[in-house]
Amino acid sequence: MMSTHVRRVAIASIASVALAFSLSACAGASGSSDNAEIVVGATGPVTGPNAAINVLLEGAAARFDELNAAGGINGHKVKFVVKDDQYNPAQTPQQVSQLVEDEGANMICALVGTGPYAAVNDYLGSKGILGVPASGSAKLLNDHTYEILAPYGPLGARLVGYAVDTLKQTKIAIAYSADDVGQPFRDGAVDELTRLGITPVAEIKFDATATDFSAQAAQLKQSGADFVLINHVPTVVAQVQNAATKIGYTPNWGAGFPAASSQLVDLAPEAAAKTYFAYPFLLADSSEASAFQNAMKTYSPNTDTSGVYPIEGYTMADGCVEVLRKAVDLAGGGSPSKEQILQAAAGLTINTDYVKDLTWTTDDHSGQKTSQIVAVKNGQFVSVDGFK
Amino acid sequence: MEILQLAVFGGLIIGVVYALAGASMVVLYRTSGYVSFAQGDIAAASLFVGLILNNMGMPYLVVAAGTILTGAILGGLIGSFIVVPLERLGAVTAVLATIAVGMIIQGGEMLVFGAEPKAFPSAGDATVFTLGALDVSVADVVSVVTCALVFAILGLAFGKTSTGIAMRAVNDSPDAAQILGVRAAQLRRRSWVVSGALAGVAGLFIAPTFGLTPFSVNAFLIFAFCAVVVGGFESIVGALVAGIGVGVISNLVAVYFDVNLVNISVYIILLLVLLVRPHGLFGRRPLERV
Amino acid sequence: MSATTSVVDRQLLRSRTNAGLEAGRGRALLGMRVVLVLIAVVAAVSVGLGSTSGLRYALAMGAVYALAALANGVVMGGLGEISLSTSAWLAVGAYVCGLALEAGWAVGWAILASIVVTAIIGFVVAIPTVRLRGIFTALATFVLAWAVPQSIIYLEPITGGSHGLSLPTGNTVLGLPLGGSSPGQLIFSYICFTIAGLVTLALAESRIGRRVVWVGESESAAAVFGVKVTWVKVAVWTWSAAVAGLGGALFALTVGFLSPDQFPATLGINLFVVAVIAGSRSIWGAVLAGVLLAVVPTQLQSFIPSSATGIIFGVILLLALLTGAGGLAKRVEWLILAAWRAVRGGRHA
Repeated sequence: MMSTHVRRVAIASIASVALAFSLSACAGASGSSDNAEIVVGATGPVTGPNAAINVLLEGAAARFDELNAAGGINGHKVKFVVKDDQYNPAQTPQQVSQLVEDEGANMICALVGTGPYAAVNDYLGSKGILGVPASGSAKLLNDHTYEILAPYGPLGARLVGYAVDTLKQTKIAIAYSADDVGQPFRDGAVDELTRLGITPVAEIKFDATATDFSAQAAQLKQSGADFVLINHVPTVVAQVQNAATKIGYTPNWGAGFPAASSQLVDLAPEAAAKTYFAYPFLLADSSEASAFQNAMKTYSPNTDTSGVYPIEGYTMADGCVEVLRKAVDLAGGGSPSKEQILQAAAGLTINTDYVKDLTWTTDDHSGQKTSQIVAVKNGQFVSVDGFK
Repeated sequence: MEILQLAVFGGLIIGVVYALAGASMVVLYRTSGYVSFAQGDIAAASLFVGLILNNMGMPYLVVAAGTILTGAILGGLIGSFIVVPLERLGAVTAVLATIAVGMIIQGGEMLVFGAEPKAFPSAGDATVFTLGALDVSVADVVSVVTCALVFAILGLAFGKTSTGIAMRAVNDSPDAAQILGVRAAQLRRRSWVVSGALAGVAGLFIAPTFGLTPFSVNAFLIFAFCAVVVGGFESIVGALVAGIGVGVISNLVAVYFDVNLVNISVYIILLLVLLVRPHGLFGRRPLERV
Repeated sequence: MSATTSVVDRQLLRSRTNAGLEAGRGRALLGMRVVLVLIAVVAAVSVGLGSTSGLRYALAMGAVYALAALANGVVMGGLGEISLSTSAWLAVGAYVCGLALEAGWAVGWAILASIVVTAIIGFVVAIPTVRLRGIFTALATFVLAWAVPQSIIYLEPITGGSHGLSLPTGNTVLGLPLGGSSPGQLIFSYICFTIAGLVTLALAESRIGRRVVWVGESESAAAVFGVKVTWVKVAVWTWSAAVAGLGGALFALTVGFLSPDQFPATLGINLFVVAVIAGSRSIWGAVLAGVLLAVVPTQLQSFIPSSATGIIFGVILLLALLTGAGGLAKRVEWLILAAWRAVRGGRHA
């Protein structure tokens, strides 16, 4: 038979679950938004296996805090609301519908991830909400989706150009993963190679979740490439590079900006010294990025700004601020409606310190095409070729 | 031909680490009859402690010792206070308890350390010798030697020492366990301590290559599970051979078929082995009592 | 004389209901169980209809997870085996439904296709799996669940791989609009669950159900009595897969977008964990389980740092384990039964 103690525990457990349930129902229903505020929403992996990426949203939040401290746009402050979807596209619709219907978000800015955004793309369209995801994927673009972030294709092409023109290396191999991070990068690189009349010596597929990359390293070595292109997060790139170093294979590497972090230098020091990154942002510690540095120090002092994500988020938010400025104009100085925000993006040119030379046309909603080439010298990231 | 050679040797080196990760599970299984899903998290927590020591400037040996010690203590605490007391409700409950503990540790690590991958020192990156085209580093040699030592000691311990034999008896026969009484529970708690320490040891060879996050060691667990199951939970040698086998076969599938077929191939191998030889390639068949 | 018979009757009823509570089946408690299922479903739907869109969406996902918990419960409660591969069946059901809708099929046929295909694959996988026992079943099912995301990527020409599969919008069933946080989706999903749950309950009470109990208790003894043990076990696993396949179809309709990231091995573990917490032998417990998994992690975010939800889940699980096998649902059933007896016993005092 059940002891009293155990029964109490069981009742307490049920009660606490029920309480959380009812409390959340209450919390959701209450709270109206201030008319002068502009509500911008985003979701990201606040928790879960990809939580390392969340500093992107901290960077974005810092930009909006900076804006609000300076008085907002025509007195209108931006309320940036972030919800956790754990990078799981099954959870994103729930969080985004809360953002739109309960929080009153009129714009989605810097939502993290191609998959998560794809899961809510149609929903945002049905609600007429402008979405600017933190993704460079071309397949997300439509009437209500615009991108600031550079697509991976032009980055791959940029690296090919640098390898051929500056490094004078033409035996080029591409290591790619069969996902949104690897394939567009590879396609862009292959297109550029074709344009230059060069054939890649190898295209090697890998799985980012694998525990061992010795097979891929062996294949790359056998191809005899002196420049290897690869696009993924630092831990994965480091593993591929270490597997190569281990078998005595030390080519030059060309990587996309996701890998440009001190972690890569820590995890794969020899290879990192021979890696060139296509980097579409300002370097976080450069003199031009002083506003970013100040904003992060003031509004998000616990965030480690050495990686690429914080400046990526800050840059995206910077672009979104420009969209909102135009929207406020369209609203005659008042708080813009979601229709006005959507309209503001059409045909807009953004050219700030952070977002370089981006024009959205009717046919092209994709992000910034230009990037600089960055390399590692003495453990620091320095620019070796300017924005092109 | 060189690709084959590199794939095989690469698989060998990583296979040794799979086997080491599996050793921690074998110890627990041979004493308690179930598998713990918390080993990856115990390893990660121990590694975080090691990282703190490292950041304080301690030499590698201190960091390694600290990691292993933390694993042992953590394993002992979890075993004594949570899992072993729940064993009376059945093996399923015990396994679930390990899952629960794993979740709690992971949550704690996320809160305290965050999810950013952190670099962890290795036992040594300098090349010791070359095997064909492969540079074998100090860390690789240490992992192979450690693995051999661990398995030799475990083999001896379970086969010859009275504690080891008692541990096996406790698992093989519930009557023996009853007769041994309190001592059975004590043995089980001890096996948790050893298992935790071994998880820490395996972690020392995983973290330097993969970076340390609350999730890095768990990815290894699957391969370690498979190595142990295929090799036979009862057999120390089996886990070693199977670990290397899994490592090599994964590489061969990746090279000659498709990289994205590796996981399902591992599943099929597991299933086939379990069907043909249910107690692993090297395991013993226990007597069925009707 | 009538007084004596009524005392005997009451004692008989008492022992039957106790036994029924422990076994998870039995005529004596069938009425109570059906009522509990209906109450749970109606509660979930009413809360959903009256609340924010976010909570409504969560509850719709709760129905999906409830079906998964039911699938786990069938195997756990009937055979005493651990199944960690329910996430694999959700994935199969979801993708089949998605592909069928893309090909222009009506919602009803797409769902049927999901159930049938998942059941067939479940049947094939079950044949080897039933030869395993205990911890090995857990491991084999876990490895299957782990192999699923990569396999989806491998099958890219069919599944869209890592890019994902977007379902056509504007799905309706009998004129009721479906998808996301729409009320129609909520209602439809719970209707599907109720049907699956009541059919499972009916099967449990039938001759087949009796055989399953025998096999679950002792395979050798059941074999002696002429029960075809292997086929009974395969049938249970196949039913489990079919139920999960239905859940997968609803998953696809609710989320509207499928990708390999949505079906990691941890989902299989979480589904099993909530099934245990809520009670594996209980149909209405599956509703509790599903809602727990769908609602608590996402809604608790507003109160505590998100990282702590993992800790809370682990603690809840430990508490549930401490209160003994059978989970919360069984405890609640005990409470109801005790209350019922107190009320009736008072009248006969």
